[in-house]
Amino acid sequence: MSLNAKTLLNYEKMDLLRFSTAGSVDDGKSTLIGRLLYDSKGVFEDQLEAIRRTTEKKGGEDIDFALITDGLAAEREQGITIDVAYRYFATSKRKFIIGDTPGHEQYTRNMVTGASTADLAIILIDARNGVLIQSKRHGYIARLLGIPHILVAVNKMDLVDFKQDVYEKIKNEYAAFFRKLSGETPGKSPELTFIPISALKGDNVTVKSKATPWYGGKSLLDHLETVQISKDRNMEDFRFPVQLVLRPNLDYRGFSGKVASGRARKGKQIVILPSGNTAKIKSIDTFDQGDLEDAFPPMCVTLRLSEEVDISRGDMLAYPDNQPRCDKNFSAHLCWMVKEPLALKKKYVLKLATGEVKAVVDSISWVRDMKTLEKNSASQLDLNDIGLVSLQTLKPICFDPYARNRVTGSFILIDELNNNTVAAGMIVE
Amino acid sequence: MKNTTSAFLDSPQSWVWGILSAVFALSLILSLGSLISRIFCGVQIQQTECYMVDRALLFFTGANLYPDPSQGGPYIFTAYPPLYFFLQALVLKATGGLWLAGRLLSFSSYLGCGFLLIAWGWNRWGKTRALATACVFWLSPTWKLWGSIVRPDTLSLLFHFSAFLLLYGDSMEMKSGKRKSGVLTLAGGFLSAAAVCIKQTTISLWFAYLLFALIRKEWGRLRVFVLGACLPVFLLVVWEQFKTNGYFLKHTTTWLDTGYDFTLLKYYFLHGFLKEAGWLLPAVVLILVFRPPGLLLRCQLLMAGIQLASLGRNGGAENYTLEFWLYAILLAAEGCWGGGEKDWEKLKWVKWAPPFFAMAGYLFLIPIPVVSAPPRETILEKMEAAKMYEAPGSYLCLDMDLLLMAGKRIEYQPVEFQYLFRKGRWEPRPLLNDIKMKKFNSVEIYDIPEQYLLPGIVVDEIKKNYHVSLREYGRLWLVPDR
Repeated sequence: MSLNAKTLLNYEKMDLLRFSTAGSVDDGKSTLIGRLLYDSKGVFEDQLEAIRRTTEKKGGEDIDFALITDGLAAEREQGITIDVAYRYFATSKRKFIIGDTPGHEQYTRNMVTGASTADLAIILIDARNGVLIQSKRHGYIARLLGIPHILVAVNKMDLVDFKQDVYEKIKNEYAAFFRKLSGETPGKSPELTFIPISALKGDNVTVKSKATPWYGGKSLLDHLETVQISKDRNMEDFRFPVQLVLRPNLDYRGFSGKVASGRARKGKQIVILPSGNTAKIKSIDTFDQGDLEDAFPPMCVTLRLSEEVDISRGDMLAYPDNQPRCDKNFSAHLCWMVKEPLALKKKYVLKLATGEVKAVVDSISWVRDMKTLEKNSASQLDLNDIGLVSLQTLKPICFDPYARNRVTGSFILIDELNNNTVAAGMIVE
Repeated sequence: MKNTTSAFLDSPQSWVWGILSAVFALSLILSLGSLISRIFCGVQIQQTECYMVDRALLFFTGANLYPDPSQGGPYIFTAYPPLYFFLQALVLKATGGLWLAGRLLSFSSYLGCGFLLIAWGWNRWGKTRALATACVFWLSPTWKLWGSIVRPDTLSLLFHFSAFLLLYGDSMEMKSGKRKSGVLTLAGGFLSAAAVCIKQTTISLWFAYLLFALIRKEWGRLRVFVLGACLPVFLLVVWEQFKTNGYFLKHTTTWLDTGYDFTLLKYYFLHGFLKEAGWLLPAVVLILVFRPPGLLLRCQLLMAGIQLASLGRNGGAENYTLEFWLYAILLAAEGCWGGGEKDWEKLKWVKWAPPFFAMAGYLFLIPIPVVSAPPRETILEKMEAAKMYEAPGSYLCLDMDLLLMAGKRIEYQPVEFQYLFRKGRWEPRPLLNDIKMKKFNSVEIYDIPEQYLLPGIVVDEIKKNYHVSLREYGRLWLVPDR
């Protein structure tokens, strides 16, 4: 095997970390991402050259790293990131997908989208401004979405002369806020890490800075490369939402999908939900790895069963002694994502894992004021509102609380008329 | 009251059939929703639809539908004569899109066969009986399935049936000695030629007519029929052979021998045919024994019955029952009411047999669901996934509709390969060479150990030159090794 092929193979086998970034306007989010891409050689030479020219035109001296990420013309004109932009880069240790989301309050929905699949969230705080309500809002959303690792990057330390007390004050205030938040929100508390950085100058971004001798932790990139995410996966509750019934000919009938959580084992008895039929896993098939003994998240496999049972797309496979709840009524946190407000009792399509069912929102318990993070009573949800609602589905669906299982506990609501995704939901109970 | 009841029992007349027609028609109307959703579905409902559309899209571009298979992709045999692709291409000009034209052709043919039954039976059987008979025909799940996909089967049978009715009418006139002109025979022959030029299996009518003519010694009529039916087909074959440097017949005959599997025959017979036509078979047997209709119809049913054996062909499907279903229903109705003799209705139990069988048929057919169109979610996902094929270049893809949606040509038809390869009737070298040359931007295969739709030799070549890039939905997308 050539060296090149070996490198490619290693690249494919590398661990993947998805992370999102959130920060207020001018907290330096795009600069940080630009720096990471630049330092990890994730920027093409011609792109870099164009950025150098633009920076010069603006009269700047250092490279404006924000220009690397603010790729959309509209966002460049406005000077803000207006949508979720996914960026890809890799180091020798890991592959990364960055969900670069806007920080403004009116873009809460984008933040929810960007962070929903993230293993880690970077929340940027401008060292000069300290902890603002916006920083708390970002923390609240990250906590609500159950992101297991939160990295608070206290940025622009160069502008406060790398003073330790500024950093410590922000750290203590934010940690206290998070402790309070964790008391209010169900689920396991995330791992919270603080790093003082200067995205523009590169301090503590890819290498440890000499300007912060009082800081004993890792650089930001080092943290991203080494943070343990394999333990975050739920390996206890076997859930296999069926994506597709694979029937290439009359002799083969398999059920394809991605293991959402837990471990599928050959020979184990499983239950098919919502029908309740049972069967044994006869084989776990893949093309290039053959018949496996077991499969776990995030593996995509095809299961064949010992019995000819009726299974279709949207059904969920689990173990009989550890089943998700199958019900028509549940409560959930809902982030409303379109201008037209939520209409109570209106039928929406609820998509959970691979299943779809018609659903209505029965009632709204409260809505979180995203400026003050206070809970208010409300009769409707507007764009970017996050609230606790009760839902009712036409047919029972199988789910877990989001705090236990992010895949089988999250859903989206779709407006049937225009196919727009109108809300993202996280099941509470 | 007693008189009314007695009259009802004694005479299952038109109003009984009126009620049955109303019930059957109501059921049909209720099932229209699923049929319409199939017809307007934005993605493939059946894999082979794509390649039918691909060929129709090519028709007016001047491209050769029957190219030399050794010259590289597409690596498929067109399999059908050009008339279907021509008609579909014509309708495509009006409808645009990909699927609607072919599905409308199939659906109108499905409806058309029923209307032909009504037209034929309106005076011969009585209006309500004709309506009820057509409704039973329309209730057939197999006809519904094949009447709402882009396939030539129902259209070819519409031509076949039109031809048959002309010939059958003519044969009965001959029997009664009324008509001497061969115009109907000639017209029937032409229609039959059109049917064969859409799909070759409708040649069954030629054999039926030949058998009929041999038994009746109708040599004159046979000559007229041969002139009307065989000559146009012969001319078309000669023309296409000339135009394609001899590849037309290779394309249209190679796939005929894909091997035979009795387990397939058993499967389709038990799980499809008997569930649908189990009630009709005893009716047909009773009619054939006690009230045989005209000879040509019996000959045709024999040919349609022989064609049922094609259910065991590798790659065959339930479409081989379509012809039998149509002619068995015609035979049953003709046997009951087409002969003009009403003596048999003096027996009370006999006169109730037709409504009994019709009801039995209804009860057989109603529980059989029609395969619904893919859910909205799948359609949206496919539309999204099609974007990955928009980049310039070629792709090997199991879901060929994605290629069509991305404006690409169909390079291969998965269902065809295995059988032909096993029989040594498909030359894999052009495809193997192209894989070796990494012609394809990506190759999509099943993420399971055995590839049922590709020969092992092709899979091995893919393994040698491509590596896994994406694993989703039970599929693997492989990209060329750098």
